[in-house]
Amino acid sequence: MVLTPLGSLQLIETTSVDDIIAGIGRNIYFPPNTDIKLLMDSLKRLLQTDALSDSMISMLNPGNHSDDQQVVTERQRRVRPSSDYNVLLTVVNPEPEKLHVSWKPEIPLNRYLQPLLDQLKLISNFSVQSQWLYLIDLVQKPPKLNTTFVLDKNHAQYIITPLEKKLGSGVSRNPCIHFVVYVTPCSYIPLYFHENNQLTTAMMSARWGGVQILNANEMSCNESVSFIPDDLSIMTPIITQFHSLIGVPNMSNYMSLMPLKSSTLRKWQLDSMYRLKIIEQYTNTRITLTSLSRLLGEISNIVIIEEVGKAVTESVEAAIKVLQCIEKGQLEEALEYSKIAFETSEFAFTHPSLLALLYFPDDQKYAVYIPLFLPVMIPVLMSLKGVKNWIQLKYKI
Amino acid sequence: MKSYFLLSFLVCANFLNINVCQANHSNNWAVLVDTSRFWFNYRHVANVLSIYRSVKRLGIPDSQIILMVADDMACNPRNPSPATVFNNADQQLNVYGDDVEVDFRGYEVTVENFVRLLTGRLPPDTPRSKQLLTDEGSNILIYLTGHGGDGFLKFQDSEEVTSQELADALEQMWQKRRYHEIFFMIDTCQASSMYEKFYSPNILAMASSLVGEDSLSHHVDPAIGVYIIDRYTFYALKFLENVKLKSRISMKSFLGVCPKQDCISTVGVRIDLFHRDLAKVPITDFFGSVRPVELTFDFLDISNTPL
Repeated sequence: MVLTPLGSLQLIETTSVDDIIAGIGRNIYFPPNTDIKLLMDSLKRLLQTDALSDSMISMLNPGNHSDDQQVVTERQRRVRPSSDYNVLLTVVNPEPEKLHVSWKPEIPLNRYLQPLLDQLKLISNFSVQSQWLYLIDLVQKPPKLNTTFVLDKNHAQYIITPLEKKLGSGVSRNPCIHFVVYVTPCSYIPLYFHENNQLTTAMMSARWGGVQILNANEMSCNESVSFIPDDLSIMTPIITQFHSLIGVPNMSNYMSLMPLKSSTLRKWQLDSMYRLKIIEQYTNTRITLTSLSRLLGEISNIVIIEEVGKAVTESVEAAIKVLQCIEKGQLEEALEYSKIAFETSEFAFTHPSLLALLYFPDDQKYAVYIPLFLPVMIPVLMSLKGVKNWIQLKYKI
Repeated sequence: MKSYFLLSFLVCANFLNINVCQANHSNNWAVLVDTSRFWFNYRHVANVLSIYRSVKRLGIPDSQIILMVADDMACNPRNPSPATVFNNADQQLNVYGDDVEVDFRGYEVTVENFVRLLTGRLPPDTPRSKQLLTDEGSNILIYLTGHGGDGFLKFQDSEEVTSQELADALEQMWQKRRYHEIFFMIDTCQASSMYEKFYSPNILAMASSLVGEDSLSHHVDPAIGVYIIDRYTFYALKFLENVKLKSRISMKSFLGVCPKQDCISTVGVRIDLFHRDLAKVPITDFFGSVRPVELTFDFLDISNTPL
């Protein structure tokens, strides 16, 4: 079998499928009688042409965006572009005296999240941490519906605000993706989120992270047995939400997918992530450099030190290489250059030296220099008469 | 053909406008600045702490509030009741509270630090608490108080930020996609001169007085011996104390917070850069933090992830 290279797709016509199916690698299977238009549409979806142009448009002209609401929602969910991210898993146990939870987050994180992060290592670095918090109440009192306690979606949105204060801001300036596992207090078991007569244990906030409810079994509440949660049922929402937050394309609405049953990405999904990242970083570079050059045009006093100048040149060169690599279909190289372009343009724009002499208008120069030099000049000016006399005297003799 | 293009352009522009109205933010930040020091400026510290108290109560976490206070009134030896700052002589409301996180204090409150904070041009060793890590989904509340004049706001007793510098800094923020919307509030003399030069979109601005007017203080506390709060912020706090996280009070009603009989000065408002209907903008879009949420119903199947 021939290995399909990075970034390309292999279309396979086969009688063993009755519908277009996206495979685990870079293969698309379709039955012989498939309408060509349908196939084209599916491929467009798969290559995310809409999402790519939408993220470019919305970055270049804020407020403009694609007509497809799902594309826009997916973009607004994604965390802001950065080359490093923190992932913080917080387990909240509000009643540690009544309920002992015996769970080690490291093991499931290593099993389910780490392989995914390894796949994404060319895109960004992720550093994962976990913490336990105790004695934090749900501010909302959940009402009882039949036999369960429910938090309506409208109430659920007020949970994050008080939680956020306790999660800690961290010391790092990288964007943080939060996952909160909230162990339900014994008096509210079982607790669910509720919307349109559907119950679920997980919710997500765009660009921020996810919250899930962990209902202990009643036995652990009454007796002194510790509650051992199931790794898979905690990690399932976390991985699902992590996919949405970093922008993994969700194609299940448009075509059938071959089941993967793993937290990792299919190869064509990873290719899409590469494309998205390249576009994001390249567009960001373009905006930053344009804005910087406009700034330099407006304020002539600005001093560009060699370091900044070098960064700008480097950024422009890398950005040109991004385009060249994309034309040749070299995704990995394009991604690498787009990262360089993004980081150096960011460095140049936010360099502290740019501000040093930024605002020193002419009227302020008078205001500063005249009081400084005038008193010094007075004796000099007054001595001019003496100098003149001295010269006259000297040359007369 | 030409008219067809024109028509499609108009329809598109119209459509885009609607989109702009509906676009929502994903996080909230606040930059609260008191620029003056010394005991007789007690009221400016009370002003800034009043707004700090409100945004914190309505849910903006300390990690997303940048508080710049030029002097420490709570621990000033002249303060008869240490560790308090009151907004009223009846001493009912201690705006200092028991949990204040000041990010820039004393002589750190400079024009340079303020402009660096806004534009993000910071030395690489700057701690996270002194950075404004906003993105294109952030709504920012900027509140300034201190002594000002026509076109400038004085920082400490040594320097001033001009309205042009401020407008340029905001434009750079816009170009770098560092905000979604800004609510700019300023309580100082001739305050409206500070927002007149703004030219970046999505900024709503409000000032305690118009050009040529002084902003006045509210009342003296005889125990403290100085004026303890300014009129505009006093009434703004009174209004904000009644706001709850879930209340649907709009920005429009907040803009009418201090009528002339209360403020004596005329409150200035600038809305031409802001494109949403103010009656439909909840006050918590700027003073609080309510994150948009969606419930997750469809989960991935990860049951066969290898060990």
